[in-house]
Amino acid sequence: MDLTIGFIAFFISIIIPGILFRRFFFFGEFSKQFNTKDPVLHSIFFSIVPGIIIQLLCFTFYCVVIKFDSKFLDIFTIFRDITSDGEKGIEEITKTFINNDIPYFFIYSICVFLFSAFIGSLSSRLIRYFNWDKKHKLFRFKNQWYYIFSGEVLNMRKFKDAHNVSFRQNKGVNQDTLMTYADILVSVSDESSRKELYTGYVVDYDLKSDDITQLDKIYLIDTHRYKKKSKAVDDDGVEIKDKQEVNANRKPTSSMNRIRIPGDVFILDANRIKNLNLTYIPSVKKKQDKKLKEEKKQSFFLIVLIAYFVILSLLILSHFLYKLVGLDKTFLGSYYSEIGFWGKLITILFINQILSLCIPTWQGRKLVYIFKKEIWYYVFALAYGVLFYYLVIAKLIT
Amino acid sequence: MEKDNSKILKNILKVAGVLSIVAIVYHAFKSVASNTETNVMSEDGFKAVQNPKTAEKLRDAVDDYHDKGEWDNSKLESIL
Repeated sequence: MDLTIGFIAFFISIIIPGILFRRFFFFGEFSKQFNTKDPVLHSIFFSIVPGIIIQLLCFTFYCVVIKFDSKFLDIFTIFRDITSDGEKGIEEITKTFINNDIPYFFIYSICVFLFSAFIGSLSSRLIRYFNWDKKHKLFRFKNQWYYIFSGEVLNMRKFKDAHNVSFRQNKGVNQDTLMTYADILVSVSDESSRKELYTGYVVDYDLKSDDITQLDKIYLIDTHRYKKKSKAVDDDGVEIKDKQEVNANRKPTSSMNRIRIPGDVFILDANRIKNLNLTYIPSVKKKQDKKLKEEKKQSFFLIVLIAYFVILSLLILSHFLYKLVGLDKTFLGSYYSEIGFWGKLITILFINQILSLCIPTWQGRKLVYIFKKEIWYYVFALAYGVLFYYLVIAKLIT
Repeated sequence: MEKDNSKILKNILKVAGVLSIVAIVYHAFKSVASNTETNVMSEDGFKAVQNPKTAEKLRDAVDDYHDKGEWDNSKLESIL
């Protein structure tokens, strides 16, 4: 690719914002998805779409808020003049831009860069905040090992059916994991078939730099290694079992010795791993926090529900007491005096239908918002709307 | 004079408006970011494993879970 002024302008305006967006979009455990070792063309290709969107957003914002005295067409004119060899002449707007506006362009570009970084960081965090990556595959990050080791895999939709069948009653889509306990079977060498079983808490992991779907290393703490117990035999060759062992027959340590591995962190080469058995320890604190949050939410929903009933009751009562309250002297006077019984009934039904969109409904003992209403809801809303217009609005206008 | 004063006041209000928008955005971002941390092991879990006594109890709780298939919540609460 030739390094022309046009390419530099394109790089500053579109590619850099796109690259910055992607750099900040992949944060924390997902940061490896943005790899500086990616081929340049690959990086440029995936930066063009976010770059163009960001540029359009920033330019529109600039025009609306700062009253930027320019049009979209001017941008293309300037860009065309800069990239051309100048044979067809240069437009006045391009000359003005080159003579007066280059410093402003760089200041604007820096603002665009900052905005790209911010919007990249915010959008990925919003995906995580609303759990869209767990609900929809489209938003899922490539690092599936994070979901596995953090226990978030339990909250994914595809595990929903599995929860119903395989998991125990206190496991499920709503579990918050405190940490992950792993039993890892490792082959000792390529030559021998000897295997060893390690166990510990997963504290971190590494992915392969050339393929981020592959695990490279696992970091364990409080690590133990299982070793088969040597059987004690008496003079007649019969196995001797001690009392404690008989009592604890069902414990995992009954046939194996669990030997603590001294040291702070144990690093396992993932290439040698034969299989992994993970146990997700539930977080009691997170569960309590969630319960508290849910209680707060429920009390808020209850207030909304009460407010709905109060508003609806006041609306109905106003039709009987409007003279007493003095509503007939307000702007609503013509409504109360000119509209007949059916018109008023339709008004109440229509307002009720609209208000019911904003109120939670009981589902068992819980109040929840169900936005997916049945088709009849919309049919009635439309019918009331049409009737409300012809029986009330049209009469009041004429 | 009065015109100058109102201009200054307008400018001060503009700066205050921009600053308050920045503060609101910063606060909202911080709140979203604190709820979206990506840790494999939670801080509470790390603390529990660091202490040999609680680590031993936690391992027993895991063994119990492997044995019975259900977590002993009261035991977990006492450990964590």
